[in-house]
Amino acid sequence: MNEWAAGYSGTFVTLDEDLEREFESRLRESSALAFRVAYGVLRHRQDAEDVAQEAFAKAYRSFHQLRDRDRFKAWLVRMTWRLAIDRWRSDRRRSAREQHVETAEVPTTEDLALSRERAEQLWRAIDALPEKLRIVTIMGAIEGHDIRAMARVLDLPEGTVKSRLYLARKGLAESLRCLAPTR
Amino acid sequence: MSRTDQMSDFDERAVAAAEAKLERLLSIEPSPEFAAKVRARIAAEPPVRSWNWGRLLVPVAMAAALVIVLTHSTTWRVHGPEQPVATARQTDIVLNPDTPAETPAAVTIRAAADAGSKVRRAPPPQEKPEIIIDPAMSDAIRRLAVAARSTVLDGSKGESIAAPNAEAETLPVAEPLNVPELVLKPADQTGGQ
Repeated sequence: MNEWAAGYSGTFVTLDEDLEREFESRLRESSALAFRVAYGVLRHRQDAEDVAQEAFAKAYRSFHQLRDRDRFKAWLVRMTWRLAIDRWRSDRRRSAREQHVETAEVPTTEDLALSRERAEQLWRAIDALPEKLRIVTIMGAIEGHDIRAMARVLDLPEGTVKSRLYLARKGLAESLRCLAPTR
Repeated sequence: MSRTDQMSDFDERAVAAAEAKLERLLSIEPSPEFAAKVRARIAAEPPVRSWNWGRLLVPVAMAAALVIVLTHSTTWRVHGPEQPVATARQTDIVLNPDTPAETPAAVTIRAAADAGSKVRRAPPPQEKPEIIIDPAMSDAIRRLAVAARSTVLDGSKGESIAAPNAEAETLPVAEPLNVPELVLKPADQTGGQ
């Protein structure tokens, strides 16, 4: 990664070789996490990639200042979340949002339409949650994040995460009841 | 929605289904070129944004110190080391409140040694003695001034502003001093005998 910033050596903040290698490995292991966090807010693949890349670029600039390297994931998740929320707020009025659909599971057109409708309802219900509850819902849905892992990543006590998760589920249930189509 | 309310079975099932759906929706991977794009982004970062401001601190501090030194040396040359920067000494004219309204107010000129005037780097202020004009004298001066203002002299009647002293009319004439020439003679050897 040294060659990235070789042209700026001197005044430009560059990382030494060990830090470069470490950052490279962090980039490999946390790319999906940052991307999913951004996607959970934006629901747009391109935007989510853009935000996650921006978060990594920011992380690179300040990586040498991070004393506790084990906190990198938490740091990256918070940064990505913040950037994604900022982008989401500025793009809130955007009309068309790409919706992820699992084509393998929904082969027919009718099923596809139903799945899309349910996904839209779910995202609306998540959007209706306060930000603190929304992040635990998203993080809980990202693979491999149990309460302990979420507490570490969000820098919160486990009890707080549990309580927020409970409130988030209740809020979600309420929103889904309101959004459910009456038949 | 309150903290103590329990969720119904229906809600529990709905939320569980929603969470499962959300988990599937979020099980996506970034594009294969994600890492390459991150690297390209870091390489394309404008260097200005990543300046090490600590490096700028030294020249800025040196420039500030130079300006301060130059300013001080200029002030030293203009005013000298012991000169006060500004003389804030002012004279206050205080009308004597003891004087009755009919009589002219006694004017007291006092050196401004009050607490309001502060002089930096000046020697300790020297107390000037109070000069008090006698009210009677100031009254006389005032009356004289008023009389002089309102008096019109009539030249045909021989009125004049000059003093009535006759001798003053004849101005002294300066005459050349007539001093006989001094002739030096040898001294008498006989001793005047």
